[in-house]
Amino acid sequence: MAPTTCTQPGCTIAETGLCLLSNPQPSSCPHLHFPREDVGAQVVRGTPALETLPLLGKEARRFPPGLELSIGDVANIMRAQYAHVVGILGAWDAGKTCFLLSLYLMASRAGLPAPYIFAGSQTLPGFEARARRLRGWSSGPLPEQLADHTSLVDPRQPAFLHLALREKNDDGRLINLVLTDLPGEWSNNLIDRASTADRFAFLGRADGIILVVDGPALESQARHSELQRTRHLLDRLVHDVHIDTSSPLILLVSKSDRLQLRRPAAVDDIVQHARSLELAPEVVSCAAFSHDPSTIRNGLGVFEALAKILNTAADGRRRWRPLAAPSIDRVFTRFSDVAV
Amino acid sequence: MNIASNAHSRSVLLIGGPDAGKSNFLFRLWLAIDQGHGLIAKDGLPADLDYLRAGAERLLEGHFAAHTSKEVHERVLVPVKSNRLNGGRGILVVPDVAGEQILAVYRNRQWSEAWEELISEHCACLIFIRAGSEQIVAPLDWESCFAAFGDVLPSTNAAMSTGQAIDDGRNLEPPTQVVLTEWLQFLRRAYTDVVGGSFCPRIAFVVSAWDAVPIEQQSMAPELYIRDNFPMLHQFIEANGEYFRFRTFGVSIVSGDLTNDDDFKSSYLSGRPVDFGYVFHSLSGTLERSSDVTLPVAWALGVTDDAS
Repeated sequence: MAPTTCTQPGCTIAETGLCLLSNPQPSSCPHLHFPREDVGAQVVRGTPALETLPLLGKEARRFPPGLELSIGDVANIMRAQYAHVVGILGAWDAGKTCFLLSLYLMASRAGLPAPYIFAGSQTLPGFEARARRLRGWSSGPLPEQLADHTSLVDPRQPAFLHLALREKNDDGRLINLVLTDLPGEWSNNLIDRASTADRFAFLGRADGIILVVDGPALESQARHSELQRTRHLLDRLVHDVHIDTSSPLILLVSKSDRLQLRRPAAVDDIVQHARSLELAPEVVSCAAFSHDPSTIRNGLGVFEALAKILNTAADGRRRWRPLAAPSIDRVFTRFSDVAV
Repeated sequence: MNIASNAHSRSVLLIGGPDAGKSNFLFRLWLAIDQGHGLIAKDGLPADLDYLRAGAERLLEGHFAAHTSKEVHERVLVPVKSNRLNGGRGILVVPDVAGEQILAVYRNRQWSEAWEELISEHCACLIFIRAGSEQIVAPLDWESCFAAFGDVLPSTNAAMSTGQAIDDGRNLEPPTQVVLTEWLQFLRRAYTDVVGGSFCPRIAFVVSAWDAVPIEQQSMAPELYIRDNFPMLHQFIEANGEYFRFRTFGVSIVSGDLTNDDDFKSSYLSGRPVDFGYVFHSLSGTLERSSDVTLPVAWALGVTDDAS
């Protein structure tokens, strides 16, 4: 198979994989030339066990794969518009992916609460692939041809999903939500090793953090260890990641439908511990995928958690700022600094 | 605006998945342009007429167009003039490709020169959805996710850890509203790069086979059909009015079903085929029915404007 080449004099992307113009997504560089026989192979993993058609004619424009955004991609969004960055943390199986999927399904069915409506997404294929169990952190490396598009192949870099919302009111505000999609192992590793805290440096720019705790687990025999892990995670976030303690912190009690929305007593212990760290947690009961939607609706608590962050940003310490405000540049600088 | 306000030809992209009604619309459009009673009329015969002629003859003989071959990438060039007072003249460029090519662009995340070279300030788009088509892929919901996951939700599922798809059938196809929303985002990127971010392209949604919409819904605005069947796409349209000019049309090219309704086919063939077909629209602010099937293209080209 012929190698990928670049028409820019001096570019060594064919040998090194590095774009001469430092394009964060080298494959979108207009000077790049893809061998004709590669074209038909550019299939997003999982989207299609269907027949793939070659392009009719020479390739002229390439769009991002849309499976997830890297920190560099997010920084590009923030160059043009303010983006609300939300860190979603929690142990493996706590319910982080279900939270993201439930949010997407709301958008997909026009089920976002008023005044919000769906306004776009730079990661539609990513949501779709996750909804079909075709994309996950443990699903191994991407096909080689997509490797340069994503941070997933680099286990040290976070991945993000994007959702744009429009307020359907007089303001008509456009809100770019950028949500982390992190493996549960990240949280576990952070608890065990302070040295992994630099992975979470992007949380310094986060508009809020949603800490997902497994509701039924907090009422099980494992509750003591669950509680301890959650306390330690909060300790690490404050003392090692150095999150802004004035940022909104949502304690999301997942799978609450299995508890008939009862709040486990252990949640109060977590709240107390968080307050001792000068955090101000708010508790939200969540049923991302309800086992009994006739009594507890699907998606309960999902947008409520995000709304608490958006509302804080709108009326409080992190008031929403216009695009050209100098502070945005400062915010962007902080964010892109951690992308290295 | 008129279609010959400058030397450039005007292009209209026909976008839609398989069975969306693009080719049938194109052939019926040609019949209307050829007849010359609509807002747009021919300004002489096209130099290459075979593709249009063959498709139109098939329609005149009472047959819908066959499924467009996946390899087809026709580019129809029709010299046209506006029937409006002081209307201009120009070349209408309309590519016709198989719906699979539209899906391929979504999946492959790239398009060819054939698309790229048409993107300009003189380019508008018609996006097709055929009412009741079996090729429409419904959006996901909680139930269909549960059906896929069983009782085991994403992060715990074995398939998640292996990256294997359990269902390799139709369940893997992207929902139609996702493909079309992504196409709009692709188009926005391309227009911004080529023309500029402040340019607001005209995008006409064509709900084809409007006669196949349930009878009680046919008197409703076509926008409501999109709202009820493609909710995320509808919200995208609502939310992005500053980046696109959107209008929706309900179109029936012959007012009935030539394939499954023999009585209708007989009446069609015994009458004048060019008298069949209509367009529902709200360009004046209220829902109207027009017999001019050139209307969606005329609006897209700016030959006719709207009240809002």
